[in-house]
Amino acid sequence: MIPELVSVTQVEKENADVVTLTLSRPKFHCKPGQFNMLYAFGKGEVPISIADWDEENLIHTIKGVGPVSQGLCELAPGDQIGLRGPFGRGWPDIDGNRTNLIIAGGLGLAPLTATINQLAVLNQPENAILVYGCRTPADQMFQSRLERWNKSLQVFQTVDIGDRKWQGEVGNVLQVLPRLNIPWHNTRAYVCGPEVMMRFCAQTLMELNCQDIYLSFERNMKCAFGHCGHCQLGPTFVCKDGPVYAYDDIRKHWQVREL
Amino acid sequence: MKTVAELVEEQGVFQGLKPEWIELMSGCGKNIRLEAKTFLFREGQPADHFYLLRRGKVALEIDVPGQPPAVFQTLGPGEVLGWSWLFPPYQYAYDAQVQEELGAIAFDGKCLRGKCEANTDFGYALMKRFSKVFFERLKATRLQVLDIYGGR
Repeated sequence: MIPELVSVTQVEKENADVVTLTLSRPKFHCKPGQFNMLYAFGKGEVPISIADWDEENLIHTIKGVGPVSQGLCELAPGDQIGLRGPFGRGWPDIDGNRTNLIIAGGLGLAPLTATINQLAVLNQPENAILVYGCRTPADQMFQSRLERWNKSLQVFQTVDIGDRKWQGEVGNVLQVLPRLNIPWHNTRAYVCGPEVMMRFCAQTLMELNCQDIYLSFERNMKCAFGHCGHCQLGPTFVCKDGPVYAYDDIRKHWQVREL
Repeated sequence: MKTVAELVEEQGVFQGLKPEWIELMSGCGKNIRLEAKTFLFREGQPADHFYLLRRGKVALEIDVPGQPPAVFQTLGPGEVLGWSWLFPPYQYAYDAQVQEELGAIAFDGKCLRGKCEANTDFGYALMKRFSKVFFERLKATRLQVLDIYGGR
């Protein structure tokens, strides 16, 4: 409940309004897909997915969309913030006997970073695919990581609007999926991005006969442990029963408008 | 070396077509190969052909006066390119530039339109398959137009 103080050690600007913060936080234990509540002094607290971590550091990627997140994006090395976490249910463990398909849209790549890094370590590109969609080439994030991941995964990058310099695909991620030559019945899909993208992706995956689908949701989260009710999604709380849900578990509630 | 009919039969979009219809369709097709940076067609040109892409990549562009062309879609192996051959005035609506060396089957639009008119069962079977492609493209295009990554 009470935030601990952590220091910013590194700030990396990903694009015009997205920043990756490295926080000094030794021995932080969490699972891919979980989130922390980050407190910017004088501004407030917001839920931010954990992008990755190691023995000494914790990494968060933040888009400045409101006063608190913008405050976090304006931090410099040496600044301190409050941290509560980790919270929530994360991604399922990687299954080396299946094809692992990661579908990320925009900032949705951040909560999938740790899982992608795990897949990269396995170095089985025939079983590991990343489809990453963005609005334009300028909005792409994690360029150095994408280049590194390209060595051990099949990476497909697509933008909504391209130009002649852009060498990737142009079109929504939905258009890339049917082109993948993978055993859909033995594929596990990890999907994170705008909710409307996730909804249509899930439908397309089912049509392609992929039944094993996990999605990461976002709602207004305040307490982060299922008490305040702000993040309620049907009978579940996104902070506690999510943010990662199996599609089968959430499908029925997801079809209810305004839920 | 495979015949045009064998190449057509391999493509998912035409799977399930009767063998005699594959032959009928293939009579209007020929294998082509184009280098990167070549324009397959340009806006306003007569839409004489549509293409079944077998390898490589094509970028669809719209010319925007005073700005670089806007690339709104890329297509690759197994995909169909070109719909303007179906409807008057039979003119291409945008530019198509080869991004990666292209191998494709080019179908003569007038030839195929004639065969569809003469054999409406064949025409219907073909249109059903094209309609599914339209439907999927429209679904994806609507998400593009929504600018879902922009934040609302």
